Amino acid sequence: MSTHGRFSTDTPEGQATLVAALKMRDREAFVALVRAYTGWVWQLAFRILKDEQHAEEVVQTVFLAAWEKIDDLNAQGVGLTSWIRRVAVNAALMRLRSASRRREDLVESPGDLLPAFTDDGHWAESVPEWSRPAEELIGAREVIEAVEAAVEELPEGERAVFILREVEHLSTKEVADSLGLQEGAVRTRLHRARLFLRKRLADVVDGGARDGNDVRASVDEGEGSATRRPGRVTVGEVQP
Amino acid sequence: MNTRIETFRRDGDHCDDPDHDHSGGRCSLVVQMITEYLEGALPDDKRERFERHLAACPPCVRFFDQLRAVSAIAPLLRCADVPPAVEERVLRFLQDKTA
Repeated sequence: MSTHGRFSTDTPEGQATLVAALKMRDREAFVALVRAYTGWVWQLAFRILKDEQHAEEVVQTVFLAAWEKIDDLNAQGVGLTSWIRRVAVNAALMRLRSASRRREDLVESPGDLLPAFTDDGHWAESVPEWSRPAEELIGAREVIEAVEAAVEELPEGERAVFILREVEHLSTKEVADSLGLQEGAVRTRLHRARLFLRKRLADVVDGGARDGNDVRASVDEGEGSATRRPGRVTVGEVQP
Repeated sequence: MNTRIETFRRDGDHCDDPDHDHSGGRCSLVVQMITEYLEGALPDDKRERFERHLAACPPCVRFFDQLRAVSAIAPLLRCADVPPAVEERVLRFLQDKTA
């Protein structure tokens, strides 16, 4: 991360020195911790919460926990960065769960995310080649914006896994440790997130018209409406 | 990433996996295993069976490519800049809470 005063968080040795000082209730160490990790924690929380104020509250929660519970650190057998990440992710998820998201918005079952197959396991409809090659899509602004919007639609479980694995580049094991999950459950959530985002991407690339592998949509305009409104489709709770 | 898959056919709408009647060769199962494959979590026998299926099934290869595209875009997702005063506000908050 960086060096602040007599403390460095760039190496395991530097982190160990910092942790030892924190356990001695060294104020300078605490300030160094805050200066080293605030930006990283804030951005991690913001990616999950998409709210600046809530992200800042997560930062406060993390460092208050660091001050009050630093003695637990070695007992948990994880390093300082992993410990902070775990506290941050849990704080962000707790805040997300208490936000105004309505349960009735989560209407799609896990099976709805899978494409349609015939009884003997063949594709029920074609898988169209996207109209633009992948390398062209990857840098396109509208594509990035569409995926960002779709990530916000993911339930908290899938969203956290997707961000930690695909954006923060943690290993599957690190994601599992951060979220208190089995690695298999992480892969299940990651697969569901990828399926959902692929569908959203298809909507942008080809307008969704040729994509027969549709994700069933829920629309907030009342029952029976056939109008599809991107941004209002959500996926169901995860079954780890 | 296994580059062998880059050489697989992507055109066509038919699965030509000769073992399609067996459970390991079904498109529906292969689609469910894509993330396990990409994460390196498949045992050798299932990984080889997975690759054999893709070699014979252009629709599955296209779907596989599309899921990989999602992963390739993910690192490009943007994040807001940290507001400049956050650090000082957090330090003041902690000063009050831990005094």
